Amino acid sequence: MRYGMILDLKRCYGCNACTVICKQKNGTPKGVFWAKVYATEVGKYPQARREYLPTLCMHCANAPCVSVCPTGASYKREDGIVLVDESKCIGCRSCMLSCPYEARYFDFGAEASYFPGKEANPYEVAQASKRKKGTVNKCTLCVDRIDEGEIPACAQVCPTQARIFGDLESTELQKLIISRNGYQEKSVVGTDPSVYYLPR
Amino acid sequence: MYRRENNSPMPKSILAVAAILAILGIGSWIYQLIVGMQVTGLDNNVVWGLYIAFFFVVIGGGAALLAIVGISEFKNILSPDSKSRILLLSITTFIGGGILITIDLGNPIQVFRIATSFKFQSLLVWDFWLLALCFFLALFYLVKVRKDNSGGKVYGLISIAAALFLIVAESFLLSSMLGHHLWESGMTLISFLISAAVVGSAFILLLMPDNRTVRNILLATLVFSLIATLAEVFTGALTGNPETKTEMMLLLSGQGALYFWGQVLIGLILPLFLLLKSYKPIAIALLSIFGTLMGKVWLLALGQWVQGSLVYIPSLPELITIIGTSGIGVLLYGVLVKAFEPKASPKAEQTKMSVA
Repeated sequence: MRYGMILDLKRCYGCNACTVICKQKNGTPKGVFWAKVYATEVGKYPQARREYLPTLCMHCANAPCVSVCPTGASYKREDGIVLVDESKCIGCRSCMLSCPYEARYFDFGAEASYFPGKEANPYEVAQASKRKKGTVNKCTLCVDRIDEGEIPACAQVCPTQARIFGDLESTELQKLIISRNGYQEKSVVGTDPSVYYLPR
Repeated sequence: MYRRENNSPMPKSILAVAAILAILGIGSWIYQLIVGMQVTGLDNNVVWGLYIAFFFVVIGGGAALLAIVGISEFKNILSPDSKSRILLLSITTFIGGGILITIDLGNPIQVFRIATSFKFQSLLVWDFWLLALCFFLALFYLVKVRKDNSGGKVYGLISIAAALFLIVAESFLLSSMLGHHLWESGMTLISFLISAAVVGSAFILLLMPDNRTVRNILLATLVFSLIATLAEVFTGALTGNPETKTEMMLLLSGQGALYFWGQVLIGLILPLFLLLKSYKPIAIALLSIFGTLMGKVWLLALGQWVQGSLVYIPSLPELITIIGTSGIGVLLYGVLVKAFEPKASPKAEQTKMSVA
């Protein structure tokens, strides 16, 4: 069992529904995006086009964030999901430096309210109470939903099904990766990410 | 032959200034504890800044001090009193390093968690235990020197090895971070070793301003540091990959230029000039330490820089906290010197007489 995600770049058209649902579900502070979509412009007019690269924590098989963590706060579940135990995190931020995918964020103690000068609404207050100032946070692959038999929110909300969640060791996903020449981002660093990209 | 050494207690005026700075620094740290790390210049791109840079400088210097005392067991370059003073300074730097890490973690209890995790897969845990080892080695060395005037060759060798391991562990700590190509080369280790030697000899110059050997060692280490720094930056700027080239150009003429030229002009060339032309030991030592700090700041800032973002600039609370930590260090050293006043043991007296 190795949970992961396949991101079909042919299908992603940069609507950022994944970005928004992730923020909504997890109540991450301003500037923090566990799921995000990078947009780049390719080519020259009249052949110019926009290309999108959806990202999230890669939940690497050889997660450097897990090995550098001095307290074991960053850990890997048997199903391959990499998580942070905030009660053990000392905020040394070495996991952030070791992550080649910039998938980790530090809680600098941001205000609960998203909008400056405005009071936080009850939902923001509830979400902020879950955060721990001075610790590191990251995409959990919606582990709470997975444990209840659901799929991650970003995969569920994607209108084009560009985010495909599942067991990477399953025949179905293996076939998909092979048939579409799936690749891993920055595979040269040897972290063996659990996120595969299907080229355009 | 031993030279004139500054063994007098620290002047009260210096201690008073250090106390004021320490109070300011503690106030700034409390402010950071209450408001959070958002008061620093750090963000989600640059997560290690001035505190870690100063930690590398201070710990490197402390390790070099321990190594120099170890070397003195093989080459008679230090008197027992000087060894005591240097070891006291080394102990002070290790405590100072501990304070800096505590400040950077934002909560004193977090340090305890590193100490009790025993997760030796992490280089940070190695760094912690090597630092603890060097601290206790320096402490026991001090006791031994005060008792027998010497630590002995075995103790000297262990101290040199432990100090070297500590510096190597710190450079590996940076080099092992994936995706930061500026730190991945062997230059990181070289620069850590050279900067430790610079800071160590600068520290000793503060204690022994008239010692010609220390002066020559500092001169040599500053020249090495200048060559290594210029070689690293200009090689990157002229022949490196596009990413390295962009970073080095930022250092030479962009947002990082203040750190780089601050290091080269104020922290390397100026002390070299003063060493050769008009000898001002205190200024030379302080400038050398400042230059090393600038070097570490740009190494960290550029290593974490991402395209399209601004180069890291420390915030005012960070600067005040760092200055305050230096004040705490001076105070602590003053207290330790007072507490470990060189006692006139019969053996020590005998050595002094034979030297005279």
